[in-house]
Amino acid sequence: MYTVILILTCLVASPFIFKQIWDTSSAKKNKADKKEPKVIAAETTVPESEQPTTEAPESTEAEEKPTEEPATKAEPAKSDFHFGTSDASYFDDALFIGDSRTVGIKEYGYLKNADYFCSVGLSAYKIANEYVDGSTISDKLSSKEYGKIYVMLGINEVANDTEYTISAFRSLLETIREYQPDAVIYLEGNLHVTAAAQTENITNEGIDALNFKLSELADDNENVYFININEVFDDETGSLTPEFTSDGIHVLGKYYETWCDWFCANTVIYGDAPEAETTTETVTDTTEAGSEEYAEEEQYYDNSGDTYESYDNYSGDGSYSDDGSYYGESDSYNNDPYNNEY
Amino acid sequence: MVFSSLEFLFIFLPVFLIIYAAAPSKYKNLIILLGSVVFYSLGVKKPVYIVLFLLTNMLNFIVGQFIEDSPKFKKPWLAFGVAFNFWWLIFFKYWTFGTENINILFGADLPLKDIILPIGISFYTFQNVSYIIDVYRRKTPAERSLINYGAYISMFPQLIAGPIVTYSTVAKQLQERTHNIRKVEEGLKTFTIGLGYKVLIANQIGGLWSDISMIGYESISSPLAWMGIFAYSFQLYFDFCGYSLMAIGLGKLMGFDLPRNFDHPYTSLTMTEFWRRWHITLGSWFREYVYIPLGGNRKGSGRLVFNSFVVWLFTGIWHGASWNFIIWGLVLFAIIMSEKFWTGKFFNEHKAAGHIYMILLIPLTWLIFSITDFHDLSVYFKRLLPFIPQKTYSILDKDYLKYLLEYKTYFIAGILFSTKLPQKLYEKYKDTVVCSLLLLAVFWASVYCMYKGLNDPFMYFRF
Repeated sequence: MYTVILILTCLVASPFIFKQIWDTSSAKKNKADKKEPKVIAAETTVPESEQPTTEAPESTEAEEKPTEEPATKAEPAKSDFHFGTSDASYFDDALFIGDSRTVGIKEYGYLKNADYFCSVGLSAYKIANEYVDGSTISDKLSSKEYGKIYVMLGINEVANDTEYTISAFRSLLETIREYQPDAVIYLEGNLHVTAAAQTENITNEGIDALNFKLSELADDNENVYFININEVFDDETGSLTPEFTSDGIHVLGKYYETWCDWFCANTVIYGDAPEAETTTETVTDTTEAGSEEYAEEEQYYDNSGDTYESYDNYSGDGSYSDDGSYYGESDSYNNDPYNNEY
Repeated sequence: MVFSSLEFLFIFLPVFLIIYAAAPSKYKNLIILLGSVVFYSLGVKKPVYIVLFLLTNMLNFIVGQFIEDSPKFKKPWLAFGVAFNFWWLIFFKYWTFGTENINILFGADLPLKDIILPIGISFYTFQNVSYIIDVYRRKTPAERSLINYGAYISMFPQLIAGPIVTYSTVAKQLQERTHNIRKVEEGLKTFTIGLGYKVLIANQIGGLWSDISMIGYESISSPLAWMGIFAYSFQLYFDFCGYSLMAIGLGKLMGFDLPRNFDHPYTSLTMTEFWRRWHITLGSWFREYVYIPLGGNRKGSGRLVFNSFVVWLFTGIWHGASWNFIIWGLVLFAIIMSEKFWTGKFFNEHKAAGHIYMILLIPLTWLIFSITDFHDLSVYFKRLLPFIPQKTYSILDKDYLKYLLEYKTYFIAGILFSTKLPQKLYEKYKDTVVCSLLLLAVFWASVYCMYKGLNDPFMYFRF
């Protein structure tokens, strides 16, 4: 009896399941094929990027500030500001929008005075229709006037086509502007994953490419700034440092304090920049773990600048963003066969 | 390849079963052997491990015959066979651990090799050894057909995660066994229950354990820390028990009666009883081939303590090459000895006390089992006991409520299916239509979870 109905239902369902298995394995193959040129491109940048670090170690402090250099240089309209330190009250009128990483900031960070619109698995595609604690993003944005809005999304989107993702971000920015025309918007670069946690779909290269596009998006828009947390948590290879995480994707609860320190130290302040180093000191002193890694981070920074340039070239020849064959096979973006939501 | 994967359920298994059913009786064992080699090849990391696996089995097959054919030299042959089998297990599983510790102890600088463990080696080594010892003891005649022996060792249902089937339990079935629709029905049902345990309970409640690791042990409240070890205990049980049930079910489809591996361990009153009900085939292996040959309990209590010590040390080490497994084994040894001499009688007579004792103690021992890093382990222990002074970090207010709400269904399911009630109901109603429909729902719910990619890698694969 059980045997018969089981076999019958299996026969009915098997076409769907075979399709799923086929999609999964062919998706893997596609990604594998594509990886090759990426790897080569990344390798060529390594020798160049090593040079500045070794030659001028004493200059690293001075270079600390230009973390967001691409953003600041590109747009003359934004030149009259700098990133500086504010105290926690700065976040009284802040809203954080994001996925599970922002959930971590909400739950384990100390910026309890801020508002949050975040849930595990949130993405730029879904956000327009998603309910978080019973309200939509529009409800949240119309509930009060925010001075600053932080957005960190992208880890759930990074497997898909970058252009498509950026267009989703663009419409999110439009939505925010509609309700909050004067707010400072911070587009946050997505946190890297550890080298070991990279999969066919989620690589630090992909994250960097998306982050780079986000920084460009910030440049193109008035009062939108790009900030990138990876300088704090990266190891020397440009991946999330394994000691800071257990799953390779989220930092441990205790490091959200470091993250919040970094938020405080990287607020947009209008007017001329004072001494550049001051920002560093605040972060350094707060936690032991943070300070240990900070030295490494300073060295790394030069690398990351070069990496960005290489992505620029890469998208230039068209092969990078042309990611269509993979998602084209599944019905919609949400139907990701791996379905990992962060 | 794991049983709880779409590829196994919808490609490998149907293809194998069709060929198996179509083959005439005398080729069925050959089909099992070939199918299992294919199954093994799909899961193994290096092709050379397939060769190692086949050669090891062939060598044990030959050694078994030598032991039987030349009684004069049977001791050296046995020694050679046991040494050969354990050499590979030690090499692959303990070499890195050993060199690391020698380096630390003597300040030596021996090179560390990154050795990948061949899948299933802990299990097939134990089966091969049990076979040659049984032949030596004349408990069973040596197998004369390489195909039968190969089918016994490599039989894919039990190849990579047990149960550890001794040759003597299946020797007759290898020669002759019946296939009928009742067995197939029974097998599919057992398989479905195991699949449900694994995918619908273990994988789901395991999410809490990964959430806690993600947060970091410093940043969890004490109630959440306790919930965490209960969740881990459920995950471990339903994962491993589910896998064993799937193996038994698959065995039935091929006409085999594989031994039961779990008998409601969480309903035990003492740790001694728990280990008679948990991973039964491993426990009986150690009893049969280590504890009794050492003299068991027949040489006075001093010797009994020593023999138990050896068994639990080996049990610990068998589960993994790391100090926490050794300590875990020794903690179990201490608990079981204290039950033997002092507490056991009390808990057996006072059932409520026994249950409470076990409910608190089992998750604590699993904690030592699960966390390999001693610093992390001590942090977790302190979180369980908040009155111990400790450095605290930011903790989410009422984090336990958040996770209790998220995981309550799985906790309820975990508690319910740890009791004997579901099995009693199953035995009574298993031939009804309602039961078939329920199992069908379990099967498709599991497939749906796999389809959505909610499936986790099988935990016991580390072993």
